[in-house]
Amino acid sequence: MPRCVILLILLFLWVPLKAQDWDIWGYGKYLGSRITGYLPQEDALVDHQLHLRLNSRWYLSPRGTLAMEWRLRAFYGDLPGKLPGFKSYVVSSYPLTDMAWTLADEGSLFAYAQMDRFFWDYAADDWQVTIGRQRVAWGTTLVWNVSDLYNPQSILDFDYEERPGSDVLRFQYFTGPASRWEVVMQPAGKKRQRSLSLMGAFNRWNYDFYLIMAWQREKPVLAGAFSGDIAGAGFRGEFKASGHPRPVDLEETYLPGFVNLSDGRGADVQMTLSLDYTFANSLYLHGEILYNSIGVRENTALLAFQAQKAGLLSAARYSLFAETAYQWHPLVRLDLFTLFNPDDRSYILAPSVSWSAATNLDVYLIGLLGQGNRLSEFGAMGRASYLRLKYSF
Amino acid sequence: MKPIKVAFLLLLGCVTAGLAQNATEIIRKSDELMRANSSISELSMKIIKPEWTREMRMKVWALEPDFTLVLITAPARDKGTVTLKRKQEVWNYLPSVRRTIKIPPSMMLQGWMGSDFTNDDLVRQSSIVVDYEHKLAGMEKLDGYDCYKIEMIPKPEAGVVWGKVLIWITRKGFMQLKAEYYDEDAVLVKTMRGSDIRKLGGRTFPTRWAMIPNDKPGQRTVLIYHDIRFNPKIKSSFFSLQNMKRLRP
Repeated sequence: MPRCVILLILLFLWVPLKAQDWDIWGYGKYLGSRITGYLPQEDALVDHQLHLRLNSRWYLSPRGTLAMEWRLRAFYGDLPGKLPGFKSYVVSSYPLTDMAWTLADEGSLFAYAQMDRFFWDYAADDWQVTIGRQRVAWGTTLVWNVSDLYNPQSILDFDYEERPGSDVLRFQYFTGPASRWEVVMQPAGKKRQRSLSLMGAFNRWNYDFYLIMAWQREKPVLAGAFSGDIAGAGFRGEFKASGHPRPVDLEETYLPGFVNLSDGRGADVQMTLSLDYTFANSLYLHGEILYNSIGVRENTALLAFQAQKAGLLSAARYSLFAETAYQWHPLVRLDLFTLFNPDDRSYILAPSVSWSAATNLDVYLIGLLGQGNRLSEFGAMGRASYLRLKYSF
Repeated sequence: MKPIKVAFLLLLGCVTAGLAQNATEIIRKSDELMRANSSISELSMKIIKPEWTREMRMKVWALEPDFTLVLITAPARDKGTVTLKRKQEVWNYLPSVRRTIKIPPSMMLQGWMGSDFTNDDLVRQSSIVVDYEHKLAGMEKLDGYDCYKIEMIPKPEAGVVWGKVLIWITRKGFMQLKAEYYDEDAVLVKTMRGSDIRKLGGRTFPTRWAMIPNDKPGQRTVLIYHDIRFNPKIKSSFFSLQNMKRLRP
């Protein structure tokens, strides 16, 4: 197992030599799941996952930092053997190199390690340069970040709280305490995976504003976002306009003879608006809407993978989100959210409880209950329940 | 999606500005003891309930009256989270996703895990001089210190929630050792106790403050100062979105 050896060496190299120059932290998690109605031939899929995250920083100088973050996950249960494409689904793929190593792959067991942050950062007074696998987190809304050109992700992937990174060169120039220019360049072997973006951020009238111009997937992109408040309520929004996707953008998910997201012409325009309010008694209300001009109004489930390939957050024309949460006890928070497709009337209902069981031990229970017919957006998702234990160190 | 719970901690920065010959003069001198144009402090907040406790440690940079930056250094689950306040605007930085989120005003009123300190305690204390009528109610010995006992009645226009506040201030050093908060029916609601008097940052003051609700036995919230620097040179440009992401826990 030479790969394991390399991995161990890397891990040892990474052990702090001098405490003040290093920082290391992370967490261990257990995630148990039970899914029904997802694979037609199976009654219930039961799975267990152990997950270790190791984050490290090496402070090379007062201004320079080297960062490395590992994700080690082991799956045991029904999904590794029974879900086609399971491995490509759980291991994040990157255009340049995945930096992922399979540790075990035997029947119902699958384990791998992946580095999802690996960057060097240099911060001068009014500029900063960051090179390597990092997260470029653009966007202001809380569910659908359409202006997040680099790491858009579905809210349903609740267990990847850090979200994947991107292999980019990033330069930031700060023009004030809440304003900056940012240039991000993503190199890649294939031309259509390369991108170049310019982002300007500024603050006026107690609002944050972002404007983005980019060249991505060989097409121009214009995007923007804002964040502020109306009468105490959080008010956020984003938009993105880009060229129409072509069949090649959808890669192997293109379905000849079916309606595809690349059909039609004109720009692809996506917009989100979000409102949230917290009452004095801790009751929290949050609503969000997503509009996607090339999204479809029927048979949405068929195009779910296409949407992913095209960098869309949903294949649907309209998506609605509503959430309420309440601090039932200082250590216990109750949450209920729903995702609703107004065209095919399918929805997901997601009740959850989070409990701070001890200082660094969190217990989380969530259900993702899909409802709708088989071709609707959420009907094909089945009903899943998860139990998660997380210990932070 | 996650509740953003640290926004109110920003208000802690104002504490250094806040804790307060006649009664008014004594209150004024006591108020000045903790007042500073700027400060850098390290403190812990302990929430103690009969069945459980939680503790949070943080570093706070403050420039009065508009700027505060709070970095959480423990526990591990929250370490590295930063909250920035610039005038009326507040942002949170979540290090795991490297994302800055603007916090709406309605979310800022949330406490942390049932703390007994309210915004009123943390912000309104700055007005103990102007918002109350002060009357010397006697002298008492407390923890071995001779103390002025002063009765404070809020001025009608001040909008203070209390009916009456009794405060004990040491004759030497003007330190607040105790305060009792009564509602409008003269019922004791909670007691603040200052203790662990030490010299920090060149000033001698109680470095441990406990807020004890009267009707909940076994429950209290304790603030402990580990270190503080009064009036260090900090520019307002220090309180920036880019600096939030650069602080090292």
